[in-house]
Amino acid sequence: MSGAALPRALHPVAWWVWALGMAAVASSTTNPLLLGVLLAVVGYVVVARRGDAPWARSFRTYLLLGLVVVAIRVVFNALLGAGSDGHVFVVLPQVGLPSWAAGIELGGPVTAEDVLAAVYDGLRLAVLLCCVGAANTLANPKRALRSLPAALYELGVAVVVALTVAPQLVESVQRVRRARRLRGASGKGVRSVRAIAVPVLEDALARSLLLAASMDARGYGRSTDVPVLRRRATSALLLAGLLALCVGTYGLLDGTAPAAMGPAGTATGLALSAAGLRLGGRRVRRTSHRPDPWRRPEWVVAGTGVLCAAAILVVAARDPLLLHPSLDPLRWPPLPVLPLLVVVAGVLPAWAAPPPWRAPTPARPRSVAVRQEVAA
Amino acid sequence: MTLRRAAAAVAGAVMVVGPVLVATAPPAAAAGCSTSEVTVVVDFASLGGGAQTRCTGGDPGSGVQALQAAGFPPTRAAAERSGYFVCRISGKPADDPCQRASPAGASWSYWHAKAGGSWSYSSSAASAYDPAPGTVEGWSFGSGAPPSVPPPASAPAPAAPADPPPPAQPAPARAPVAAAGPQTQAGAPAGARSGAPAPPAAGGAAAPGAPAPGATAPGATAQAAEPPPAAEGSQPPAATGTPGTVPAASRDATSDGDSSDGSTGTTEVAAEEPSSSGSALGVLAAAVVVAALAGAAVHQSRRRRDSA
Repeated sequence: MSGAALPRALHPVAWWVWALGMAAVASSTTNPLLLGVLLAVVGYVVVARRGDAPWARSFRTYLLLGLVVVAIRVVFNALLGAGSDGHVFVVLPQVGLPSWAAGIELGGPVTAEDVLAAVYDGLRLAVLLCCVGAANTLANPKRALRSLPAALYELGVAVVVALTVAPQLVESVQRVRRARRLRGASGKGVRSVRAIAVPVLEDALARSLLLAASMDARGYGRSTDVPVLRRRATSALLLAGLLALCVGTYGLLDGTAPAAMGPAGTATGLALSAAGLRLGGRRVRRTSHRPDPWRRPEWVVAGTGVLCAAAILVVAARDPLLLHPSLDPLRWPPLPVLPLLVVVAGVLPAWAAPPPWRAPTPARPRSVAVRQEVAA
Repeated sequence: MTLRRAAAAVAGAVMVVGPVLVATAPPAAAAGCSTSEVTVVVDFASLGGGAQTRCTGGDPGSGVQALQAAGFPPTRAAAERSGYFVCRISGKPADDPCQRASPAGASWSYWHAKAGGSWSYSSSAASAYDPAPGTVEGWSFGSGAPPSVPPPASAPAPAAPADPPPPAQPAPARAPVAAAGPQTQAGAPAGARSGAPAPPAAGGAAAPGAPAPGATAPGATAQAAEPPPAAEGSQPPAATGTPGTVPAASRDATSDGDSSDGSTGTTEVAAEEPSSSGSALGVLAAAVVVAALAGAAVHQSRRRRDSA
């Protein structure tokens, strides 16, 4: 361990900022080569810097989910794709639809362009999902909730309690099944489901009551006296901020809206919501026990995400066709140098972040020869 | 003497009335196509070029084929695969990247109409709709307004009842023509000269072809007077008494010119594409990078498994 950083958990917000930056890079391109390299980069960072906890093993689930997304897209495009222009490689039987569904064609010829367009789009969504999955894998969700603003702390408490329900339920089910097997019951079949479900639910109820009592003993759920005017001001600020955010998001997404509506609405909404959250947080006084530090590795990791997202936006604004390979005519997708560098730069957290703390495992004998030497 | 003057008067009247009668048969507004083909109206609006009307010269199988047959080559949005989205017609608008659907305020909208009727918005894609011959297809660029010209009425087909009257007319006039032979000597060579293009022009036409050889000199000059203006017209004229070949010849000339315009349009489009082309080398390089990262990840996980 000499010379290496001491193992500690990185601040979860830093991991989330990095992951969202990578997600922004993924959503700005449909180039399958760039997306593939981005997926490899994110996977490498996850493998290098994830911890040992059970929620750290979930990245495989997100990869599987990404595959399912691509498969669904390909099937839909093959069924509903219209047009026999392009390289047809299979012809599905055409299903006749009534005249009121005249705009939809089911079946018909399937072209390579249809399938490739589905693969490109599905890959983009899959990589986006995997970036969010990487954030979930690398950042402890309970510690991430500690960083929520004070005004949302009740929501945070509810989410933390909900997050512990699933692993506890799984553990309860295993315990009950083991007990049934010891008593001689088979543990399989429909009848056993009811026999397992009832003790598990009882267990869950008992545990939640216990948790509520312990949280109440520690002072959760208390709030200071806040004047009525301030509470009303908080609600008004939050509502106005949400409305402004809706208007701003619509203005950003709709091309025919006035040009100032998008950015102005979003900025106003964010400012009003932040003010409302800050004002609302005054009524909750809480102290943090051992808060997560924000040091240089956090700045490097979060900065990587932000810089990569900004760089890809600049590239996209300058040359949008570079990031969207053409399907018509069908060509090999290009590998542009600058976006590739931006994507590969996202691998920096694999070295900049401190190594995670791992539980020590008992030493395994390396080889029989060593033991014989020691014995001799 | 009086008989000759009466014959000249009748011939003059026929010469004056004939072209007028035949010339008023097509509508004075936009020219339509025959009922065996589809009229395509493309309104370029703010792109420049106004509203152009062309015929397809046959029965197209879909709206896309109608556009191609009429000489307006369409370009499809490459990444919108759940339908044929026309993003450019004849290469316009050139600044549309044509990957996704165009923005709502600057896109091509698709309209149908019966000849001489009114525009109705299409509920099918251009690749899924088969226009019936004799109908009108409309394309309009902008925010979804219909084309600025009304759907043209189709040309009336040559009426079969028109055959009996012309033979009835020349019969009484034959005698005065024969009598007026020396006077029409000067007109005969002209008639013969203009008669030369007339028979090939009217060769395909059955009804006017029958009276043409038997028609009088005024009838022949009246007939010959039409094809030259028809050939000179840039737009295919509404079919008069002579449907078919001469209008088809002029239309072929215009469609040849338009298909060359279309091909230059597509070559321009193809010339814009090189920035998004690649080669198998790029795919290979990306595969190498991915393999390197995957190998490093496997190595990391194996090292973690082995370390205490």
